[in-house]
Formats: sequence, structure tokens, C-alpha cells
Amino acid sequence: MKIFIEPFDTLFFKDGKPFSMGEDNWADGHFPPMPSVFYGALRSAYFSQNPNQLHLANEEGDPTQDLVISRIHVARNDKRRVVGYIPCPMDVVKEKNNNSNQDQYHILEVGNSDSSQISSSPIPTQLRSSAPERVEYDKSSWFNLGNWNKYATGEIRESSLKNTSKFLIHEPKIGIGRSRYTGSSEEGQLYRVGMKRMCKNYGFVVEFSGLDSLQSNGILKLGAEGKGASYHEIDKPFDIPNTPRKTEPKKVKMIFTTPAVFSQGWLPKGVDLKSLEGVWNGFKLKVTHVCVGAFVSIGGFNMKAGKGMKVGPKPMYRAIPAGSVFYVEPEDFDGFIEAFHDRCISEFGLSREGFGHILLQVV
Amino acid sequence: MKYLFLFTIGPVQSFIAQARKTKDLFAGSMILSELIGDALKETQSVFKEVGSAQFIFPAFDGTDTKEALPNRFLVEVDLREEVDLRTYGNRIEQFVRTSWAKMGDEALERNVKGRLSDDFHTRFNDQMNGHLEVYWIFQPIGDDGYAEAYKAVERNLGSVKNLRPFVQISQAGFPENHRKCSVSGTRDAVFFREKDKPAFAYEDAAKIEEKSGYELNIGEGLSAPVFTKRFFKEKAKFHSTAEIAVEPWKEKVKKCKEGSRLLESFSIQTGSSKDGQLYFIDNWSEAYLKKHELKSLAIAKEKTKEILKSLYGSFGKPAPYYALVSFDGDKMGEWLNGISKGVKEDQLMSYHQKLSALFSKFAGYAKEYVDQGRGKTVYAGGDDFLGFLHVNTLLETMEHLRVEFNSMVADPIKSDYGIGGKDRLSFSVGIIIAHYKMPLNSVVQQAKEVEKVAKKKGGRDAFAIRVIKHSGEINEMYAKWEFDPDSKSCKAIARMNYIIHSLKEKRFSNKYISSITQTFQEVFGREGYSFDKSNSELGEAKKWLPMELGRLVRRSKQVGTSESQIEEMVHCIQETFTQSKKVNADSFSIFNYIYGLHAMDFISRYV
Repeated sequence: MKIFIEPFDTLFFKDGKPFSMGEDNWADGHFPPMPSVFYGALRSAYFSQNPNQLHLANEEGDPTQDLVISRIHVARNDKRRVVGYIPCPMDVVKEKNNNSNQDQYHILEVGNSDSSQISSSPIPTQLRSSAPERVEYDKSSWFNLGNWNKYATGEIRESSLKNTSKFLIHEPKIGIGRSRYTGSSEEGQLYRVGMKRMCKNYGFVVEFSGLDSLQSNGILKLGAEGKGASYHEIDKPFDIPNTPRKTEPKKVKMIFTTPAVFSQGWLPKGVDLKSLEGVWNGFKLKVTHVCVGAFVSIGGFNMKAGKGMKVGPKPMYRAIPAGSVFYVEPEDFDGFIEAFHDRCISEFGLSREGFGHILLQVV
Repeated sequence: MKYLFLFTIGPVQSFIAQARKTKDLFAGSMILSELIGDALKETQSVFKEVGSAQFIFPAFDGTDTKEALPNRFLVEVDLREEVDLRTYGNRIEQFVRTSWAKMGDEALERNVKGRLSDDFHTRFNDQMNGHLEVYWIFQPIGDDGYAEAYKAVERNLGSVKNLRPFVQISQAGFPENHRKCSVSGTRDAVFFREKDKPAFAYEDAAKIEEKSGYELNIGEGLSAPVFTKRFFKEKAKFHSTAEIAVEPWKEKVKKCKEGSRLLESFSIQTGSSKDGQLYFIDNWSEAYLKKHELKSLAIAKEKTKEILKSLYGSFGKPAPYYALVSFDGDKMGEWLNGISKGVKEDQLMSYHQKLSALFSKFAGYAKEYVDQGRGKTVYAGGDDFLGFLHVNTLLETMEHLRVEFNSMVADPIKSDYGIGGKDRLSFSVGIIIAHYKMPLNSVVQQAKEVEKVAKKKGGRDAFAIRVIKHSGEINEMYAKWEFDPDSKSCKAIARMNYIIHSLKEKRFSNKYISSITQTFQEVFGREGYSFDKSNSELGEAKKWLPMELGRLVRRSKQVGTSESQIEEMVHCIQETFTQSKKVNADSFSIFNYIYGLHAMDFISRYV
């Protein structure tokens, strides 16, 4: 099922810092939310529609145990179609000291191995910019999936990108703690929460399976403070990048649209950290170039004990951020495209929650 | 064979900004500076064996410096023989990593009593090891010389940093599924300071005993890197935001004999507590004293409040606001390139060394100037500065530094290297004016954001001020300095000062600001209004807006204001409007001007 989720109100997605009344009085939210937020929201929505099954949550026979998220995008619900946005790929950079009104964008290119260059980098060759000016990655920009083919051909214009500020408004909420007995405000319990409001018609597209009995439209709670959002099954066209065609391929470019967790940190298990060769999800390959920004931390909180889990914080992991780019040379090109394009690949069982969603391009 | 060696450490912004106390902020900056200092010394030492190392950035003579060091350095390495440079790079990297680990061990030794479990040590080391990022690169200086090698090394380090490698948490086999660090939120808290362990705390977490100055608040838990910052060396003391905010008021009080006496009585009542928040009468409540473990002060609470009331009666209340200022050089990439400015290729290295020495001298001067009763410097090194300033002297301090930057850096480099034309080095500043109770990490993050506003919207050689009121209201403005090298002053600051002091001295009612806001909102709508070149309304507005501004100002004059003062005020208000249009010639927001007036009104309450 592919649904569009539209928030009714502001949203708040908290980081891992403890936030308890009277001690910490300021919580900044982050955006976009982690895929696990949607996973939890969908499960909760199911149980709210089927409250008689709530006792099965995290138990044997949990009706939501087969839930698998295969796509999460920020999206705009237009009259005729739904337009998806992904975090800007990290090989898209803009000129740093550009004085003109329009930002100039470039795509980093595959460089040749330079034996004279000795560096701390664990990979021998790097992606390079051909721009004359110094360049930087703009982590607040989003790429319109409708322009995917232009990205594939190396054409990047400002119009293909949208800054977060164009669809997200910061709306801090100030609150007070009140006495349970008198209703008056309690001293030292003023707090501030960094709420975010999505502009009209903006929301999220989530595609999932394994929860077929979820109603095709309804309401759910999203993020902290249980803020409400409506959802409905998408009945309009929604552009998804096509599976890349085989054209004397040399390399495949992998673009992660959601964070991915690997046991070796920035590299998946099975790939040797020195030779960068190995087997990734059953496919023999070599990683040749990588663009991975500072890691993001992924945690969460178990609300209910169950199989092998207790109530309390979930294990924290470090993930490569959304937008990360890998260039690989797979041995079985066709099989690799089939197995990786538009799929979620992540370790520690997190791919089912939507972590590690990958789109491919042939280069 | 000659090489350029570029070395950098991180994370910088997140490490410094993850600060709950000013001490965290200061220690974060000191740690990075000391680690780079260690790397510089080690670089000098290792290359002595096989050749020599000549420092280009920063200016470094092998001894400890007064100024803070930036998080990167550039060295020319001259080798007598072929060596495996990777080994040398790794050696220096390892040296820095060991220094960082030592800082953690020392903090642990000084502050945690009793035996800690092996598991605790493994976890502590795991967190420390996974924190530091180090990047370095060697670039051969070929036949094309230093200039080409310099361009290449900068570009190639950028490429190296396209991959920021990291290891997964819990390489040591411990899942991090406990209460998280109160400051970073990304690692388990391995230290706590409560009677009993907080909920979900790591079972072997070390208890920090009560100490003077309560380095850990009750309820606070820290991860290993944040603990290392909080307990980094005894000398890393720093005034709290409340102390910084209250300092100008204390200075004013001390100038009066009676004030001095009352202040002394106040100090006797508060005893050893140096808590700056106690100067604010609202904090003398049972709840506050209990929370901050100052229950012993409760006995004399009423008496101390009486002293404060007497002080407020004679000298007014202390300002609860301070300014955090962040600045760095404009277009440094272009200036370091040098060639495009007219520097000859064979002079580029000496040009870099000169620039580096000038920046270092200016950083030392800026630190000294600010620390002489104008605020407190957190970091001053290279072309970067981060520091707290008092709101009452904020504008004149910034103007002074802008003027001195020109005399100490921009003019000498121009004259020494024959850089012609009007092109001169400048810097842009981001200023946050915040309440002392506002969380510090947010203030630090916003200072960097506002610095970008000054560069982007202000078009560089500019400043931006964001006033964050305790109520949550935010006023943000940006403007060019309008620096005049002849008069050695900044016209924009002079106008702002005139407006601020006119309001302070009640020569005009501040109602004219509300009137201007109302007029603009009625004409252009409440949603805000931006003019652009193609908008014909701009032409029309240009004609009548200045006249209307003048009319509103004249109407707000108070009894006793002279005609010349009125004319000067009208000129300042109109000229500020005219200049605000020039900041961004293609498009400007009318609200930049209006928020600017509101910001000046706010500052006038605290000068």
C-alpha cells in the first residue's frame, strides 16, 4: 500500500537527549524523521483500528510483525500528481562563493587514481569537483524526484532542488508545567519544544506491505507529543525513478534516500575495509568511490516488553546519512540492479523499517 | 623532495556547540586547540629525522602560543630522502588520538574516586576512540611550484573529506541501550550525579561526587567525550552566561561607595557561591535554591533580597541579556588563492606566512581587547573569533575590532604585496543577543547561522544581529559595516549608536517604531514584503517612504529635544533605510529595516 500522510498540525521529532520536566527545558527537534517513526506510527494506527489485538503487540502472533516499509519520501500532493523529494545526493555540490543570484550546482566526478597523493582516506580514489570555485554540499536542500533523469545526465539546476525552508516552518512551542492540585503554573517548569510545521499539501509518501488490513484512509499519530496526521491511499500518479537500463555499464551509483546502518560503520559487512572488495547481500563487488557525510545517530524507545526486548531505550546505532552515494562495480550487473534498485538495504534488521532505501544509476 | 602536508581534526562545530555550560564551550575550543598544538609539535619532531618542516598556517614557532590554534594546519615538508609518508601521517594522527585519550584518562583520574569496573573502562575508551575525526593529505610540490601544489592540496583535502569514515557504536560489544548523554544525546551516559541512578542508566555508570561549583547538575548524565570537556583541566574555568550578563551592572555599582558596600554585603550572604543567577531576585525562591543545592542560603533569603532591592532601587536591575559574537574573514578562499589578487606565484608561500602571522597577531589583540572588561573570549585564532560580549558595549567593541582588523591585517597585506584597487580583506559578524537562561548550545548554533546571514544576505563585510527575547520573540537584522578607512569608523554603527542613545535618553518616544511598523504593514501587508528590481512599486515607494519616516520621527520628539537633534535623528532613520536597500540591490526585505529598529530599541534598554 502506498499512502500520503498529511499532518494536521505541527510535528516534533526528538533526538536522544533526555527531556524531563523541571530538568531539561529545551528540546530541539530534527527533520526529516527517521524511518522508524513511520514504522511505529503505522503499527500504532493498526492497533488503534483493532484495539482487541493490542495484547498481541510484540508477542507471538503480533499482527504487525510482517510490516515492511519499502519507501519513505517527503512529498507534495498536487492536483494531478504526487511529487516526491529525497535528501539531495551528496555528490551534488554548489559553488561556495557564488555572487550571482542563482546558485551554481555541479556533480562530483569520478577521479582517476593518483599515486602521488597520500592521504588518511581509506579509499584510494575520490570523487572530485570540476568547478573552478570551492564547492560545498547543502544539506538543507531536497531533490525533486521528477527531475531524476536530469540528475542522471549530469544536469543540475536550482529548479530541481527545494530548500527545507520552502516547505517547513519552525514553530517553537513554549509550555508550562501545572500543579496537579491547584492548576497553577509550577516554578522552573517552563519548557520549549522545537516544533516544525509542514506547509499546506506537503507531507510524506510511505509505501509498505504486510499490513494489508490497515484501512485505506484514516488518522495516525506521528512523532513526539502524539501529533495527529491524516493518511490516504495514493490514487494519483507518483513518479518513481525507473530501473536503470543496461548500457555497457562500468559502474553503478547507489544513492541512499534514507539513512542506512552497517555493522562496519560506513561500510556494509562482507566488504573488506582495505581492499573494498567483497560480497554485499550476496553480490560480489568492489566499492570504488564513496561520498558519506557525518554519521547520524539512530535510537528509539521500546514502549512494551516483548520477544528479546525490554521497556527502555533501544540500542543506538550510527548510520550513513540520507544522500550518501556509493559507486560500485558488481560482477553480476543485472542481478545487482534487480536486487538493489528501489529497495531498502540495511543491517541489524532495520531494512524492514525503511532504513537504507536505495536508488541506482548506471554510470 | 618537497611536499605540502595539510592536517585537520574534527568534529568542530558539533563538538564546540554541544555545550550546556560556558565551561563546556570554552573547554571544547581549548581541547581542539591543544590537540592541534600537539600535532604541530609532533610534525616538527618526526620530520626532523628525515628533513625539515616549515609551518605556513598557522604561524607557529614550536612553542606554546597565547592565541588559540585553528583546527587545521599546513606545513611544507622538505625531505632529504625518500620515506613512506603514509607512516609519518599515521604517526602524527596516532599521536593526536593518544593525546585525546590521555585527556579523558586524566579527567577520570582527577574526578572519579574508587575502582571502576573493566567494563566501564572498555566502554569509556570505546566512546573516546569513536569520537575524534582526523584527515590529512600530502601533496608533492612539483615543477609547477608552491602555488599549484597549494591549490591541489586544498581541493584534494575537500575530496578526502567527501568520505567521513566512522565505526559502528559498540565495537567493544556493548549495546548502547541506556539513558543517553544529556548534552550530546548520541551516546550512553556513563557518568551521573544523583543520589540513586536515574531510570535506564547504565549499570556501571560512575557517580560524580558533589563538588564546589556543581559541575554536574542533578539529573544530568554525561558520555565520555562530554565528561572530558566538562572536567578538562582545572584552569578551564569560565564565567556563566548569568555572570557575563550581570558584569556591566556590577561594574556600575562598584563605582559608587554605597553600591560597593551593598555588593559586599551581598557577597557575604551568598558565601562561596559564585552563581551569577543569584543577582536576579526572581531566583531567590525555595525551589531554585533547592534545585541548585544552595539550601544553606535560604536562612538569610529575606535579608539578601532586601539588599538586592536596595541595589535595584539605586542602580536599576541588571540586564539579563548577553551577546554571543562569531566572526570570520570574508572570501578567505579567494584571499588565500592570492594569485587572483595580484600576488606573484613565487611570493605565494611568503604571502601565506605573512597572512598567517597577521591573523595570529590580530587574534591575540582581539582576545586581549575583549577580555579587558568587555566580555570573555572563547576562541580567537586565525580569522575566527567566538566570544561573549556585554550588550552595553557591544556595538562599540565590534566597531573597534572592525577598524583594527583593517589596520592590523587588511592594510599591511595590501601594501606588502602590492594588492591594488578597493579590494580589501574584511570580516562578517553574527551576533546573538540572548537571555542568560536560554540553552547555550542553541545560542552557539544560532550564532553560526547568523554569521551566515551576514555573509549571504548582508553580502559580506557586514554584521547581522538576532535578538532572542525571553518571551520567544525574535528580531533579526543585517547591514553593511559601511567601513570608512579614512575616518577609521563604521557609518552604520555610528547611526545605530545615535538612534540607540536618542531612545535611551528619551529624546524620542519609541512609539515611532510601532508607527513605522504599522504604516508598513498597512501598505505592504502583514505577511512581509520584498521589493525586487522588476517591481515598479519600489520606485514609487522610494519617493514617499523617506518622507513618511521623517514625519513619524518628528512627531515622536519629546520635550526638550533640540532642532539639530531632531534633524540628526531624521537623517539617521532615513539613511539607515536608504542603506538597507543597498545591502542587497536586487531584492530587499522591508522587514529587515523594521526588525533593525526593533533591535535598536531593545539594545537601548541595556546600554
